[in-house]
Amino acid sequence: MLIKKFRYLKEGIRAMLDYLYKKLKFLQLKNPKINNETTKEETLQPELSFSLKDNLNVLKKILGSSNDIIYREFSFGSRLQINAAVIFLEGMTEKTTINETIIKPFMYESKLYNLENESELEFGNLSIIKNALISVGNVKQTSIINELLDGCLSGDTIFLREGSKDALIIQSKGFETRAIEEAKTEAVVRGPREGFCENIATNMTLLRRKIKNHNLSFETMQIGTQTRTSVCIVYLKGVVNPKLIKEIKKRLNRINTDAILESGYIEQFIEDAPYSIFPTVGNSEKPDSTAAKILEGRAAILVDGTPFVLTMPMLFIEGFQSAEDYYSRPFYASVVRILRFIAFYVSVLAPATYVILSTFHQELIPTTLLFTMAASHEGVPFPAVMEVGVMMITFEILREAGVRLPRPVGQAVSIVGALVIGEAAVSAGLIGGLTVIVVALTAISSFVVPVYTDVISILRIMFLVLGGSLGIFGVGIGFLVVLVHVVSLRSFGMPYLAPLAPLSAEDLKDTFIRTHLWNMFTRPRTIGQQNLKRQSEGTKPEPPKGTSNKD
Amino acid sequence: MKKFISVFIKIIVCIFIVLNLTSCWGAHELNKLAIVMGVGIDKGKANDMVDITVQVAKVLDIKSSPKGSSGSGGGSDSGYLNLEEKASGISQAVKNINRKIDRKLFFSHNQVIILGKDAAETGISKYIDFFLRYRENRLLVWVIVAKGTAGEMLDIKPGLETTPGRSIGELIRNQEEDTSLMPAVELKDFASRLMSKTTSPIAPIIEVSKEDKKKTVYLSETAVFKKDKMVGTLDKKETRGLLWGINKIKDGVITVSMPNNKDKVDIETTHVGSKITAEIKDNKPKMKIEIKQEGDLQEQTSAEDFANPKAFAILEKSEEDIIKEEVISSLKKSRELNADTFGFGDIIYEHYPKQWREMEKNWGEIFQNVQVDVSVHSKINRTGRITKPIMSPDK
Repeated sequence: MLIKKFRYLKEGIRAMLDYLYKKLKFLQLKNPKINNETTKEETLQPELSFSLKDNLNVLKKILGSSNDIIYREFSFGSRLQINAAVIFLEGMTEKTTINETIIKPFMYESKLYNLENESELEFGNLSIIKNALISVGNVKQTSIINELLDGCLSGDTIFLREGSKDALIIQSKGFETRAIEEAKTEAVVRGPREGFCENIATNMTLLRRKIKNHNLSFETMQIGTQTRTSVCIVYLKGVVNPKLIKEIKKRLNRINTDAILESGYIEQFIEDAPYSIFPTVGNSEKPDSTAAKILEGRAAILVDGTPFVLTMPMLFIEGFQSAEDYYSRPFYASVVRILRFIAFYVSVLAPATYVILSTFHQELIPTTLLFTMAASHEGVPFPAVMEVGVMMITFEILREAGVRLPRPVGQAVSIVGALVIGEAAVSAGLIGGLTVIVVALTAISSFVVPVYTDVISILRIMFLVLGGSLGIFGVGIGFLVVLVHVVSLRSFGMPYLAPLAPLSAEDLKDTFIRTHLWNMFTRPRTIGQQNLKRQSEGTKPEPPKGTSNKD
Repeated sequence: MKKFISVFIKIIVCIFIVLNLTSCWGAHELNKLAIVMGVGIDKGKANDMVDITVQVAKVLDIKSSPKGSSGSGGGSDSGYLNLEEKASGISQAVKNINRKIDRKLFFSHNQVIILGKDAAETGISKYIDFFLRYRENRLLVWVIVAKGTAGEMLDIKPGLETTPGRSIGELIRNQEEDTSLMPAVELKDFASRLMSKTTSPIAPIIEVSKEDKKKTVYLSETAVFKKDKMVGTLDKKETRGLLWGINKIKDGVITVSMPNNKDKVDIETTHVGSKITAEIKDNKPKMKIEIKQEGDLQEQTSAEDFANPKAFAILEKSEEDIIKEEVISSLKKSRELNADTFGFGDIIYEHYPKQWREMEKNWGEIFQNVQVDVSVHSKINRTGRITKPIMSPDK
């Protein structure tokens, strides 16, 4: 009888969920189709012609008459018989490169060199120009208009000449970028300070400087039909699992959107669990930690225009690891690790626990503490759930305000916040003093694990509602649901809770504690499967043998 | 989009409905609770009536008193409130109290159950039932018998603690952990002895001392129950004899008189283990109490040097005699009261369940005549921080 009832209930719930799912799908289908084909229609003519004038006209038509595009036409040769043009974007290019190494050779040196057979210069020959005149490292010859446009728009100079079907793309990128600065999000006391910057080439260099190995591979592609953003997959050949790279490429190729403005765009298009509050793609602002992840067998994705580099696969434990753990000695690093786990639990469960204890399970509080709690709650008009909830929301507002506001105003916000939260609310009798302590502790703890700060905020509210309505039972159920969910997550095929949930005893060397570096013989089993051995054994530092201390 | 919003609203409504189904059962805010710190039970004047005193902590007074004792205001500065009620039963009384106080009585933090002497002498099982049955009550509450009325005990201002209930509770906790002069009886121990057919429950007696005009409470004796009625008391010496036997001593000082009857040596107990075993020979039960005690020299009033094995042996011997005497005196009193305080009956039942069935009928008689061997083994380990006495021997 009961089982039958239960089955009905189950079917009912399934029917309800199916209905909701269908509704949502239907609604999504109803959305107007996004047109991503806009850029393609402009390239009516895929290749250049022999006439310079025609070519210029075609390019002008495509590029439009924007002020920052310079069309410089000139003539060269001993009798100035050859017409040519360079096209470049002002601001994206380095002026000295164009003036000194592209235009100048034509105007002065083409005469000075007194090329033996002038006829070589004529009839649209480009190779002599490429070989003898232009002293720039990277020159590419092509006739495809799309390639020319990509080159021009990314800061290269296009050289066109009369009578040639081909054009040259001469590297002349040079634009104002932010210098390499200290990483803002991952500050360290000990360790390299430099962080990634917005320029992808600089970022690639930064990584290359960390890993001077020919196996370090960069694979660049353009994503975003409008923005044509450079996206670069970085990995260490021989260490990374080739299947992972294949999978990443597959997911990147699937992206068909108009704009990639930040690596977060890519993250949201390739992540494994888009409906989960837990991130399954990691990010870092520091070359050293990115390099460490690449060396463990992960792949990184650099995106032009952002200092945040994606790393994948991401494991849950990564949020608790900091670059500094490996630079400082293992003992304190391990203590800090454990502290981070405690802080994570405190920041997720402390408000809910406080509410549970003070509204449902007063018998669990030690008597003296109960007096304190009761006294602080005396005369407070709201139930504990509301009290904590309001305080938490206030804190989130203040945090958001502090982040968004310009620095000088931000300080004012923090003063007002501290006054409002700390003093006034308590002395006005709106909020109990203990609530303030709990919320403040929670807030501070959540910053100890910066990767999960946003996850924590959501979980905290969820647990607060559960705790406030169902007591310890609700929090228990909620905890189990979250646990089951986290265990079920995968990041690029790797179990999210990796060294813990499919327990790999050897990988525990770098979870709750961090052992000595000379003790970490292998890469993490789940990620570095391809090439497990990291170092040979017996590298433990020891005093020299055979010399007994006689002092 | 409109459809999506309507679906979204439906989901939200579902969540709210589900949350309402729980209706927050069992939730009570802290400022809606009256925290009970002690319960006193006295026999009512009329038959079958009970006078109950419930002590409730006034948390605001407790917390604000150390801040400014001068200008706190708001009536009495005592941190407690005693509510009295007469009813036919405890739960009835508790419900009646809720007519007087605007908050829900919360029993989970109750420290003590004080039974008035009259109530104890007329039978207490009917009062104890509520405390065992009601969900909020803990089984770790101390059970005490008051010499006088229980209500009186709960109204004597404690010296250091905030409420009398807690003060008395801590007093007994000290007995358990540090002093071991009086038994510390938790409700679960009391109830299990009460449920036993032969073993008699015990409880410490609390008394008001009127020295120095200021009223204070102190633990004076031990109440001995037969079934659920109090039949007599054990004095200090007899109490400790009992505690030696039932292995409840954790600490305590034994004063040994020297042969010259003038000087005294105090030995502090550091470790005790005791065991009662039963043996049946020729259909006659025989009890054996084995006590192993270890101690340190704590104080001596003479100039004699005890820091040698020979002196230790003498001290140990006299210590053994003292302990043995205490146990025997306690046993004698128990026989006088015909109350099996040591729990011999249960021990025989555990070891010889078959023979026990026959013995059970005339246990009272057997208990009076059962042979009890008391063997004590004492050991002195250390002489404290100094080895030789500070006094020089008189010449």
